Amino acid sequence: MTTVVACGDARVVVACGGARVSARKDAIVVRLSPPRSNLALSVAGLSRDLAARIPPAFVDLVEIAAYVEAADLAAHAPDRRVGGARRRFHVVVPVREPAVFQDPAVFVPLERTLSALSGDDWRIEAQPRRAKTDAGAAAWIDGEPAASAARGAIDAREPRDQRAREPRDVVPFSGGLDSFAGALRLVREGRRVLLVAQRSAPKIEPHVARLARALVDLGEGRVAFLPVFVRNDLRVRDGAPSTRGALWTALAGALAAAHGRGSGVRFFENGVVALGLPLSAAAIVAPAARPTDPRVLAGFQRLLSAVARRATPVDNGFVFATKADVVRGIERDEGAGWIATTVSCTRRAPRPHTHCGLCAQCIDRRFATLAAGARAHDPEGLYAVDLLTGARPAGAPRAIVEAYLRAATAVAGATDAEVFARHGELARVLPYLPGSVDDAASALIELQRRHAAEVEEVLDAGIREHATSLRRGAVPPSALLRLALPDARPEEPHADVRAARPPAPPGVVRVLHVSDLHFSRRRAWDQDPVLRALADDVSRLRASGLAPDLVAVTGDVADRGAPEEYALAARFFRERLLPAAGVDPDRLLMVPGNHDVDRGAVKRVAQATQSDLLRAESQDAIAAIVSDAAEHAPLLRRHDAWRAFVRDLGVPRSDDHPWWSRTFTLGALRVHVAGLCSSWVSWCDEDKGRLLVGRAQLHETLDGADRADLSLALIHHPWDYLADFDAAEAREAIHRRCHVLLRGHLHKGEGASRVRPDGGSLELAAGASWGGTQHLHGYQLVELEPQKAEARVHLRTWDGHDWIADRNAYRGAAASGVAVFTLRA
Amino acid sequence: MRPLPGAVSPKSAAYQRVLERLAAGEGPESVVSATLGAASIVSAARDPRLSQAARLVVSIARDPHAALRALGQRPPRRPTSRLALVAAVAEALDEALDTSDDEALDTSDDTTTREPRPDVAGAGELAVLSAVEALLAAPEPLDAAAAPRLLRDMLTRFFERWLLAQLGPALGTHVGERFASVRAHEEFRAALAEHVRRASSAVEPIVARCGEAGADELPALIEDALAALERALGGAARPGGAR
Repeated sequence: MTTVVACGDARVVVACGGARVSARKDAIVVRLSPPRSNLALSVAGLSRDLAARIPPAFVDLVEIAAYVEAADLAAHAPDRRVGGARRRFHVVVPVREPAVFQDPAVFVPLERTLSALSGDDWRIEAQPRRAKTDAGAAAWIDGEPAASAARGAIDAREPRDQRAREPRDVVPFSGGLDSFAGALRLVREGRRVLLVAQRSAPKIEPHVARLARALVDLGEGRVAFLPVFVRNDLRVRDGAPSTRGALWTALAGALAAAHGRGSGVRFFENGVVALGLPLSAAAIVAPAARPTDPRVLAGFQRLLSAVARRATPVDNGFVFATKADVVRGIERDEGAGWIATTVSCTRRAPRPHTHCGLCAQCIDRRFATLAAGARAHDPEGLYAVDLLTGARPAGAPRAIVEAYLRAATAVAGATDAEVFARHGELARVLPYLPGSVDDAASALIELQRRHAAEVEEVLDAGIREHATSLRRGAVPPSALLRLALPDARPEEPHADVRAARPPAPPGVVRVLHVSDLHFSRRRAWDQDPVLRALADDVSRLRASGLAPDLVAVTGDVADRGAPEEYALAARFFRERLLPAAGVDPDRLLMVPGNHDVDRGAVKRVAQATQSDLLRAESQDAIAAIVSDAAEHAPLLRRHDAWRAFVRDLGVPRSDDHPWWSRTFTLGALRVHVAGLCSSWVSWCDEDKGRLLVGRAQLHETLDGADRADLSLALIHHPWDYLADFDAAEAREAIHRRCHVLLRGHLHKGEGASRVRPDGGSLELAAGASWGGTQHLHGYQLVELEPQKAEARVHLRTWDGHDWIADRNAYRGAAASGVAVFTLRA
Repeated sequence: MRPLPGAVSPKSAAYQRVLERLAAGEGPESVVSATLGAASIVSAARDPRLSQAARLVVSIARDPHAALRALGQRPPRRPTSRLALVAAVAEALDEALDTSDDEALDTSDDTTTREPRPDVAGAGELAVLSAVEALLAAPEPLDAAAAPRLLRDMLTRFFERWLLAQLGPALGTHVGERFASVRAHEEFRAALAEHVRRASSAVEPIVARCGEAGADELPALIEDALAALERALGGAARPGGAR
């Protein structure tokens, strides 16, 4: 059902079921003009001169916006449930310039922007105005100058002709931190500013007037302040409707149109709020309820420019600023003393507090002032409930805290690609932001990450500050600080989410073997879903009783050995794979591959040295290089980023060389692992047959292998990638001294047992866990039971949607997805 | 105004059961099942904006540039930039969806016969967000073979968002009660999302037909898919979504 809104003297006929009937008796009738007016708009401080300069089409636009807000408040409350019914309004409005409002260039952005703001369906039907008299914008003049001054208006002290000629920034001014900071910036820049304030909560009005007075004084005659008052006798519900943003913007646009070319509407609202994630899923109903949402700003700019027939900028000066940035800006502009006068909260707060401390605005403001180190300028006494330690009543106040923290930390632990893929709201606004899409995306992510860091810093500082109270249990359980801490209460885990770590059977060692991940910023789009699902799959295996003891990674973690690729990888290991496996970094085993080499770091001296080593075919020559730090430093520089990555992950024994050995005691078994580096002389695509391990590396890493119950070795390349003279020696050493060799490189999973009378080893290659779009993805979980001389390899493959057991490997011999091999005794 | 079937009615007995299960600490399976006893996605599934978004997603998989050109958008210059492609898709959906009823405008004097947009609150926006996210999360290559997978992902996300919208306020108010911490609450949401994702395998045989489905058949296919998912999650998916 459509709510018809008849404005002024509009004639309304609506077709119902094909019959045309008068709709007057059902319509909401809104009148701005006496004698039977039920809506009044007045602008204190609006002079006759300024009113006369407002074009008639803008007078129409402001009146339309006033009618819309009146109808919004006069109609039944909107159904804010997703899946509920949309309200539909048909506003029939008389205008001075019907041709303007029947032009799609005007009515399309007008209707769309109203719909985006309120989540309702708006249709504006313009009719020619029939009234014989028309005061135009002068009808909004709020009495004589003295009366206006009494209501807080302040005129600019500029010559009248200059006012008309010069461009002016019209700033919707709420008296909160952001609009004050923006106006202050403009004033400091020496710009001509017109502050427009709509009447809001009574507690805020005196603060707005004081702040405006301060800005006017600073502006030395270039700043004016016009408070706007709306009387709506039709109002059936309280609160400020989201359509108020349209009235505010229309009025600001009208005032900009009355000034020189280049005048525009300058909103100031921090980007986290303006662009950010909705605090409630229900907010989706009104997808862009804030006037500073980029879609709404773009719509208003189209609308105002079309009505003015000239470019009229409508922008948000803080689109890429956090609220803490805003506070720092106020301090830079020497306005910190006014922070305590600004009011961000419209709710009732017990005196003498100006802020309830419970609403989203209060939480956001207090986090910002604490993050910016402006605590002294935002005294605790302003807040009825302390941000960190105040008790929060059950219900909505706690839901607000939860939603705020969830939105603030949405970027934590996620790659840029994941952030956009998880939170479509952020990707959704990209076309409407300034600059290219990619640049806007980078700026948006950077903004969200900065905000997340600021929130976390405040929480960390709060935990430090209140550590004693927290320890003594003196902080209420419903305080934000307590709610933000992980739950200390024991809770039954959900089977799928918090899989317990079942005890491994005695004598069994499980190794999760992944390889060839090729992290790359360019291909993160494809890697993310596959690797995210890999972690989920590991989690499921773990829940099913296959909890790994060790995680082995056999190289090609990065694609070009670049630090930014390792940053992606580090996040994956730290936040996804290791938690899913239930394994700490000290049980992470990693060897580098050829893609972990930074080829740019292989200088001529290194190239010459490795060519000499290959020509000489001498293990002594290799040993001389490997054992001398000064000699091998130029050669190992190619692995600087790799070593930093492994070290930062917290993997032990990763400081000096890219090769290492480790010994673990797992249950009853002593396990030795040799991590071999086959890429220390790798630097080009023609590596096959030209790589080296070297006897010295083998000696160093295999020391202790013979004393272990189980001995493993990790290497990236197959043997035929090593130079012949080195391959024979390395293979012999491994087969003699290790039970199992894990490797990667070929992006193909396979296993081969090479049991010999004198030992022998099992060689297991993992497929590429993400080797590129043209490769099948695979990984494996290896169960080793030396006492039974058995290895069970759980083969996993990516089917395009999820990781599943690979039942097709070994020509059906592993139909259950598990291949069984014999280990040497 | 009579509310459309589909959204939860907070005072209904069925929704009270949802609240009881939440308060009792029951798992996501139980809570989802109770929520589907209080609301049905079927009316939202019939929103034309959902099928329009789905159609665009399927055609993007077939040929992204042709799909965008058909909507009057200039394809991004760098085809490798998935964000640029998705931004163009979002803009195209905004344009296409918002102007979809403009043709019905009757400009004759004194009449108000233009049909209003026939969607339910929020469903159109959920559709756009789900389409955007599915496109961003889809692995390379985007080609015709990827269309069923993309559509499944989009519908799964649509369902999850719709479900959270029904549950959202109630979930949040349990922080400090059933959920002793914000993290506990997050874990529940993650488990709920995982539950929906797993159940979405029920959609697979239906979305597999999207390649052959004509534009007229797609809305029914989507409704079938979402109804199947609703059933897989313990809902009845009654015709018309009435409860």
